Amino acid sequence: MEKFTRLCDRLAQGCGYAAGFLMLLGLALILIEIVIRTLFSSTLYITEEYTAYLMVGITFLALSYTLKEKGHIRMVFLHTILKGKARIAVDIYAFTVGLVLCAVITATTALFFWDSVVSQSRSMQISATYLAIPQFFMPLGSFILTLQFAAELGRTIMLLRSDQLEEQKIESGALGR
Amino acid sequence: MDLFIISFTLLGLLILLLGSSIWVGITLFLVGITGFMMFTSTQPLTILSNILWNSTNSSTMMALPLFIFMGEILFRSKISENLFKGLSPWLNSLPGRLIHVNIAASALFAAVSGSSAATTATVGKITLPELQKRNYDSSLCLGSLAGAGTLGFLIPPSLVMLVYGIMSGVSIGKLFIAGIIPGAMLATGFSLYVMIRSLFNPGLAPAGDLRYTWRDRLRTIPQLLPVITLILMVLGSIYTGWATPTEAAAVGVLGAIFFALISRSMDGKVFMEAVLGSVKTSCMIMLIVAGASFLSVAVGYLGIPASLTQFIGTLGLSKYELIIILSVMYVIMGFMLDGFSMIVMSLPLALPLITAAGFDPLWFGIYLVIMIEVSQITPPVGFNLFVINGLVDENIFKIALYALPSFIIMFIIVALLTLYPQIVLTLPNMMLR
Amino acid sequence: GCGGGASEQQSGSEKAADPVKWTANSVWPPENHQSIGLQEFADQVKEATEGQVEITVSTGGALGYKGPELLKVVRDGLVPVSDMLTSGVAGDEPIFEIVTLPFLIQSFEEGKILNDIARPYFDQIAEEKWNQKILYIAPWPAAGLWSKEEVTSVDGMKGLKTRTYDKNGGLVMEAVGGTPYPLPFSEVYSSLATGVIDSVLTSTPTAVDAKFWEVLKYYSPMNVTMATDLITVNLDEFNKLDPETQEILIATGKEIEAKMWEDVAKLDKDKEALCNENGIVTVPPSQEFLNDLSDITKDIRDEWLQSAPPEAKEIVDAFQKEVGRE
Ligand code: NA
Ligand code: NA
Repeated sequence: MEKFTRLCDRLAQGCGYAAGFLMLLGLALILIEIVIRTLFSSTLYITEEYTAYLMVGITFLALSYTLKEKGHIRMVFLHTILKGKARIAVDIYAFTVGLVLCAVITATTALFFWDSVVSQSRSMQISATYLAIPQFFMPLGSFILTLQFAAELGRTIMLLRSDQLEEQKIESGALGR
Repeated sequence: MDLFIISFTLLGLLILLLGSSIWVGITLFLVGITGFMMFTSTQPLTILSNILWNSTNSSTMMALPLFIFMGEILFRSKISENLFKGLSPWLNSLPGRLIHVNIAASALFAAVSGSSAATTATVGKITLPELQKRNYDSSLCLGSLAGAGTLGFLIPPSLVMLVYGIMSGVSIGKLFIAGIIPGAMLATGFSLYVMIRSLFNPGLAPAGDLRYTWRDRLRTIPQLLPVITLILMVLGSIYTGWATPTEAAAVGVLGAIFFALISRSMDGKVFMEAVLGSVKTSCMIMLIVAGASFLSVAVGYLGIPASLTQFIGTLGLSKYELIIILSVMYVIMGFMLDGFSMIVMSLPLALPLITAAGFDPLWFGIYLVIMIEVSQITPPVGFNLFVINGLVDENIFKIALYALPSFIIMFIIVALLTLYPQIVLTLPNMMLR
Repeated sequence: GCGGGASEQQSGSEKAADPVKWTANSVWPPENHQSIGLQEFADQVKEATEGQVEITVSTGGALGYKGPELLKVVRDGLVPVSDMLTSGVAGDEPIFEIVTLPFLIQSFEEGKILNDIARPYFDQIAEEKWNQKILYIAPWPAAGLWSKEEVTSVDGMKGLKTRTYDKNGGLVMEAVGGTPYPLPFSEVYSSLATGVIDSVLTSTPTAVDAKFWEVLKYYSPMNVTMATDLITVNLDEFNKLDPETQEILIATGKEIEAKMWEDVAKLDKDKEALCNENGIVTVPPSQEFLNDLSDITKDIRDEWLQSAPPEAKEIVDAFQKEVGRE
């Protein structure tokens, strides 16, 4: 179990870096477009379209990393009033709900992706990109998020078994810088 | 009326899931799926995939991580020291003295950062220790910072305006420009309050031995220059129509990196932290936005917004009564929810309502931002309170009490904007479309 | 009102059968002519079926769809009825791009001819491959060139910085030696004012919406392309209706289609007149200019035909024969 959670954590961390790389790629694309437009009165043609695809990639790849870093927002009302095993029970419940929903999202986005593969859907832009390519981020990111939920769930259950009910720091959520 | 039963079932489920510590984004998906499965014969999962794709596949959305990135870089740079050093000589002679640095530095930093929490944290990490050192009254210091920090959302660029603009179809550029005057009014309001308090009780802001001459003041200009350049770059390019908000954000990132490099506060590690930090925050927002888009489609399929608008119409409320009711609702929501969740959850229902009542969606965007600012300083969930609590280790309910005057000032401004909507609308209507 | 399948289970009507309640999706704003047409269709169907088929029109993309996915959305029955831009769904079904092949048609009338020739092919593909029935096809006003300088020849288009809105518009501007700018509509006005672009490929209603007369002077109605919208119904939903009701839907579709083609021709003229009143000069392209445009863009059409389904070639050949070109 410990091996599994460690592996998931590492995978999520890698996805965080990958999402960061996509963001920098988007930044570069936009800056190049500005330079080409102002200096050479020309255009890359694909900036709008590919920036949007990159945004899909950033969002979905970062899902697991954000969960690992406790970046997703939730109300911590129960966490502030509950202690010890009760609090762990709430966590187990929440991680299970997250796990189930993400498994469902993984399945449905995989079907959505596969539909685009089968019907060879293309973008109606000049690039005529196969939409299945950017759409692959959706099942991929959702699947890794599902794994991360499983890892968090496993870790919490182990915590319950180990009886080491040390005080966890209450997450105040991402601050939205 | 069975739509009432449907609405209350979904609302109950929403509260239940949120209250039981399920993540906001996930809750929104679950409530949407339930709405479809219980009350329609439409299969929701394919719709869910479509919405996930359509709400993330957006080049406008790229402004979100980029503006966050810009703020992350500046937060880690020497900008707060420079703002403090640059502003102190100018403000020290006002009644209330350096407390005004809280407000002015927040307003300036707000003009390069998209978020209130970031503004509060960046400004507070330097002003609070300095003010404490000089024995300033801590209620006035913390209260004014909590209030002024919220300017991060109202003075452009603004992450909540981005999300509102994308969800409502209102031009983001216009929203940004519309926030400038109300933001300046709010900052002025906060400053006036500090001055009045200090005139009656000069002990709140002791004079100390600080004396500044005009030479000192002029010497600070190089310290303020980078921020002012950044502001002009970002807002100027949007106002003149030279760049889209996304492009302005990219230019802003470049400027922030440049500024961090020349102030020697940037290296590989800082850069990576900023990248990961912005990826994390934007992903958090995107999950909520996607969930809310799905829920909004679900209630659309159920026909709830149309019926609600019709129902409110039969009550014969005046424009002002409607705004008062909405404000009460937002204050209540704001106790427990963060700003993004507040916008995205209320918008599908509130937007048709206020459009039908004759409000301009652009005006409503600004109103909504101020409601979100209010939620930032109301306990138990108020992000500015959390930030200040992290800086000075003071109980958040106490900080909220200190911020009560700011809360009241915000509602005075809301009343003014409601009575004179042209305060909001004039500037954006003057810009190039 | 309830939308979607929500109310299919609800009774409340005294009639023998429960009325069928459908949602019809339109991504266009409520005041757009396509949305108005769809609403008219809904109203007429309700009247003709004595309330047995009630269609609620949802406009402005309120159901969360953007456009390119709509062929699949109706196929899967996510909405029973939807309006979709014909060329917009060509990413899923390539033949639909034929409508926006540049300079294939030279007038609004030719657009109608092309549509009539293509219709049986479209019907067959929609039903056999995409599980939906086309109720009617309605046009948009054709796109022309709006510019700061007068343009009367292909040479005059060289060096233009032109805002285009689709792939074919972009290819046209490249072919004539200009630069295409695929800007979002919201940025067109300011880009014209600041000189980022100096011309726009679009139709008259857009010109009016963006008040082009404040920033542009000339309009050349060169009929680059003429877009159309397909209004389709999910085949399973359609087949659930009794034959009599099906017939009513088809007949109403025919009526609306005829009316929309007339209305749009008139709309185009009205909007152009409005632009002229505000100071924009219409410069009708000469036949020679049109022929040059057709020649210089021939490669674009040929290239597309090579990769397109074989039916596309049949349609284009039949059309060329009908209008007496090539
Ligand atoms: Na801001
Ligand atoms: Na609050």
